[in-house]
Amino acid sequence: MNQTIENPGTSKAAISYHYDIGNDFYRLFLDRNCCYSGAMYDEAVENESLDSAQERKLDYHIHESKASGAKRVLDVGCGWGGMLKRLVTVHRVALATGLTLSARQEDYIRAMALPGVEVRVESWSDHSPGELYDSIISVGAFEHFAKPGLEREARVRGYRDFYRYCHEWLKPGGWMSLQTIGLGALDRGTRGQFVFERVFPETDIPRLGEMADAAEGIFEIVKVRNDRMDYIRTGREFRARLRQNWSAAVKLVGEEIANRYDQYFRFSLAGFELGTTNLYRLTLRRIDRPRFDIRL
Amino acid sequence: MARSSAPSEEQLRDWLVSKVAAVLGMRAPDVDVSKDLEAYGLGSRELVELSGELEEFIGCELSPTLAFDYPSIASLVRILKKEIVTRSDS
Repeated sequence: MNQTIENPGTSKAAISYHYDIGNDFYRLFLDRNCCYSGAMYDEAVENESLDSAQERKLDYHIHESKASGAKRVLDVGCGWGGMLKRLVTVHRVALATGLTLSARQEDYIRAMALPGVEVRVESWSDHSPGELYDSIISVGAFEHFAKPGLEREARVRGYRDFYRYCHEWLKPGGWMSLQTIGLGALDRGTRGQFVFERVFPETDIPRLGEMADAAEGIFEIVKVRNDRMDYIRTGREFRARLRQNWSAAVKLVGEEIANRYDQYFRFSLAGFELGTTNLYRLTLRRIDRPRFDIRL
Repeated sequence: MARSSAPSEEQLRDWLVSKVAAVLGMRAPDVDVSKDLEAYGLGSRELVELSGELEEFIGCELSPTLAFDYPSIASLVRILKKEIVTRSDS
């Protein structure tokens, strides 16, 4: 198994600060499967609902990672279990394992009591599967794989460790599908970024080049998409739903937090509209003759 | 709080001038309405916040990048008047 590594990502306490505010609060603005990341809209579908666009996103990652009908699939950063549920109920996966650092998310998933779904409150760096996985999916977790203030090299090293672990857990020829918000046309460390200072502590998003560098010799990148427009539509939906349910939100979390989320959605939207943040979707294939020591 | 009626062009301009003056620590009469807000030193955060506060003032939803697309007070007032007229027509 892997040697112990230093995980440079967001701490469990900082994850809890954001994601453990209350499941009922998140349900006010998320879709029916509680997907808390950019959906995938089909422009050919008129007035597509958030539910439908989120399910398309789930199916996209399942398709890209070739998880449909698989025996064992890992979901790193499984949120409230939307992907896990989709894997076992629609895609006939025998065992879908989800990792999260949020205790409330674990509660939520356990309460669904879905046969074939397993959830663990642990970081990817503490994970140790009994058997190899056929596919790995990770949506909206990579954002938490590095804390602010690190040099590029340290960030890439952390991402590389993640890929190295995934490589070890995947069967030969296995596929992985990732989705993450990435830094776009903006200097890293720009001050006054409301979202990272007030909403997501200890979080620093990757650049595409860092994700790519980190994968060299371990995973080959087969496909990259930047779907920031999808997050604009998703973010608008989140905000509209929050505002439609404003009094319920204030009752659940208080006015200060409800206002903070309203602001967060506006800032997040601005980032995707300006292209200072992007929404990356990466398809990767395990390199079965890896070069872990490759010179970057 | 949202207003019960749409603000006039003058009210919009006065509101924006006083907001910008407060952020910059300037006197309102010294604010040049034709100058780009970014040139005055307003950062991305302030520009996104400004359109958020404008939402509250006007009482309708605005793009969070409004002050990037219409970077001076004068251009903001122009587009807002147009928007408000369009919205009340529809």
